[in-house]
Amino acid sequence: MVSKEVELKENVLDCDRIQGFGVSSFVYPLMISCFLGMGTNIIYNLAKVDSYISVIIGSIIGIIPLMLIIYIIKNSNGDDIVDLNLKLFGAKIGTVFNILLNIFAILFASLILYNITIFLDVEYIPDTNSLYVKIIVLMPIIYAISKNIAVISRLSQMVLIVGFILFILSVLGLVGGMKIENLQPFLSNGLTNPIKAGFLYAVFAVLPLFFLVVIPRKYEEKGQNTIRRIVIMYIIMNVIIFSMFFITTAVLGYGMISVFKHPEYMVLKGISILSVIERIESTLALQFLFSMTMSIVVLLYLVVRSCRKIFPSLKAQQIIPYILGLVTLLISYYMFPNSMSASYFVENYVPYILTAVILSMVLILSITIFIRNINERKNHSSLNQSKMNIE
Amino acid sequence: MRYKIVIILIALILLNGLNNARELNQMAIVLAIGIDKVEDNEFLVTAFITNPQKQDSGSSSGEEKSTVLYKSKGNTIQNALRKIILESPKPLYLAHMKLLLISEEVAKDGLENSIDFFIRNYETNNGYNFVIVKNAQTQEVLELESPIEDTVVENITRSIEFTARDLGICNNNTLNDTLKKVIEGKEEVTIPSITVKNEKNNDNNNEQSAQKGTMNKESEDQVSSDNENKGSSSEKNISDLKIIVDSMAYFKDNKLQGYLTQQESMMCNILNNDSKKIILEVNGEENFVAEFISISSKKEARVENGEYFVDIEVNGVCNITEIKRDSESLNKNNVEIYKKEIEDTLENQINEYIKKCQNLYKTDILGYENLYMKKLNKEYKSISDIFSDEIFSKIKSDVSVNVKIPNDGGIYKKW
Repeated sequence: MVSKEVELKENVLDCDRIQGFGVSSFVYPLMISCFLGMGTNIIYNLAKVDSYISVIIGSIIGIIPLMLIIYIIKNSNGDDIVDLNLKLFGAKIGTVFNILLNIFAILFASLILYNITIFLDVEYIPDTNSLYVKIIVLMPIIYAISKNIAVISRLSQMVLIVGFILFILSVLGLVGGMKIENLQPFLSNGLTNPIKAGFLYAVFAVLPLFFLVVIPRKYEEKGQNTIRRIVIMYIIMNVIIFSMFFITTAVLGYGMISVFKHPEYMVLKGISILSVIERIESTLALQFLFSMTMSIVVLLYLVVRSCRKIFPSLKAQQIIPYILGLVTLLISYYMFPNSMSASYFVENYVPYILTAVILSMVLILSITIFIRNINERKNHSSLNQSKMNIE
Repeated sequence: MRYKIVIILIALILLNGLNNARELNQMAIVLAIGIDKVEDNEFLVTAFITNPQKQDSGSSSGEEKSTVLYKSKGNTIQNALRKIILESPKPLYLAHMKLLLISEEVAKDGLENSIDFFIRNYETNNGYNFVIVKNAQTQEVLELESPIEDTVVENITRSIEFTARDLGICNNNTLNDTLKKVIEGKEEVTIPSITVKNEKNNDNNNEQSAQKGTMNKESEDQVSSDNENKGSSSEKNISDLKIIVDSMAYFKDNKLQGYLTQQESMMCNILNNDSKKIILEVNGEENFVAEFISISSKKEARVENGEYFVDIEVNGVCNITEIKRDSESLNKNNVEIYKKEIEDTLENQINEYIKKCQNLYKTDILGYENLYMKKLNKEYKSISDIFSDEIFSKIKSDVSVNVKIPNDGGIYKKW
């Protein structure tokens, strides 16, 4: 009887662990979610026809922040960012850091939610009240954040698989419409603008990967080569985003791209697979919606974990996701008076805010961890030496 | 119990969003839209609507028509389309549009005004044919009955598709292709045109022309188009009227300037890689007809000693489909002669077309500015301001045509 209970308990524990490519699957939504209606327009405005080159440059620039993020993940000892901050900076400074991070996560999630709503409002359901749209989008998000990280990671893996399938279908449908002339003139204004756009690419695609530290790796199944998988996913995602820019430019041409708010969606309108399957843009665009929704889940999960530590009671824990959903909904609803001011804000402030907050967090954390490691090594060596001396 | 009540309340709030859902049977599915200009500079918008329920039932009685026409006037296209609701019991649904027709008057005013609505409309994907109606109103065209196809819209789109595919005098480009040129602004637009032909008048005309004797082709075209004008305005017997795919309309600064001849339309589509098949009549040392089964062109820009050149390479594969009585049959000894004749004829026609574009039509439908901007961007930057006024007409074109005749067609002309 006892052995059965133990077995059952172990099974439950196995279910609650992050399995498969769980952690690395979060790379997909985090890297792609800032492009639709945000990063894409900014990069196209700056690099124009050469935007796909800026993706290559950006993915190389992005290796540096990625290495730093991996360094933090490796040295987190299985803790999430909330615990890590408290351990590294102590209770007071750690709490301040956590509060700032939580506020940023809520604002960032609200911005992504706003983008989803605008996208749906413009391209899918212009007659529907945006508040309804926001509530509908938030419902699965609230449900997801009320679950544990193992469930969220399984959801993320599903989003990844669906996203990949939809992406491959999109590519197959668009390859026939590509024209090399649309990619010309090549580097007509030199490399300066593509490099600038490359930095912005790194900001929009790589810096959100910092939120991978939200995932407590102590819940991960043992024997997973997560770091290697994250790097592989980073490479795959760069290839996907490069293909997105390359194909969109080659099919539409910069002239048309400059007209549309969502060129990556507009390009899907022209898909024709074997002249039989047409007008499937709404289905294929779900890849963007799912990934954006998933990244909101990751961001709000950070806040949920923080709140659960502050309010450990079970009742409070059940209510927190709903309150968070409501806060995100309200911020997102009252964030901008109209989409024009949202576009202005996104183009002129968001890249700087993302850089200032995330990059500074990454730098502070990695430097602190580096110093801690040196101190630990020193302590270890001095301990060893004192042991040797004693012997 | 409490949870159930909460769920019901949430569902009541959220499902309320479905109250403006649009069911298929509650929508008027628009197949085509025609835009005309009427007095007071207003748009007259004609919506050609299909009724799938009636089409399925196969009814052809007068009361149960499978297609309906709604017309409305307005200062803007949006306004005119909305006013159709006054007549139509269902709101218009544009996602399945197959054709957009504009009249000459609308095209002469500039394309931007007439197509802006369609760029912004979220329902349409702009992947439908965009056509100019020559010498008639778009509403007249949409009122016509189709002799073979189910609807006149199907008739027009099919005609355009097959004319573009088999004859090459028009292209099967969509509104998106036109939009791209309009937005980029570096290449002038050419759009297929259709016209309404009065069969009865044409018969009379043929009799008259037979009496008069021979008449050159262009003047004959002119006469027939004049008669069509009269026919469309004076006689209203719809069964006598037929829709004909005509040559390409050319634009300058997005305003309609005129129409190319059929031969020029063919050359235009060859140079823009918009046609894959053409039929070429050769009247030289040998008289025959060549049917191209594939044809493509490649343009390269170059600057030499301050002079501007465009090298045009046309490659094609053709069959000899008709040989006149006074010509020799195709065999391995004279295949090179035939090849040379085709190449020379095509080269001459292309050169003639280019000259006309540069000197007579004075519009860059050749896409030279776009070519220089894309291929020789550095050089283009220094001449971009004066390109259309000064450089375009001075560009020298070096055309080379390479033709392959893979087989003799299986007929020895020994009879």
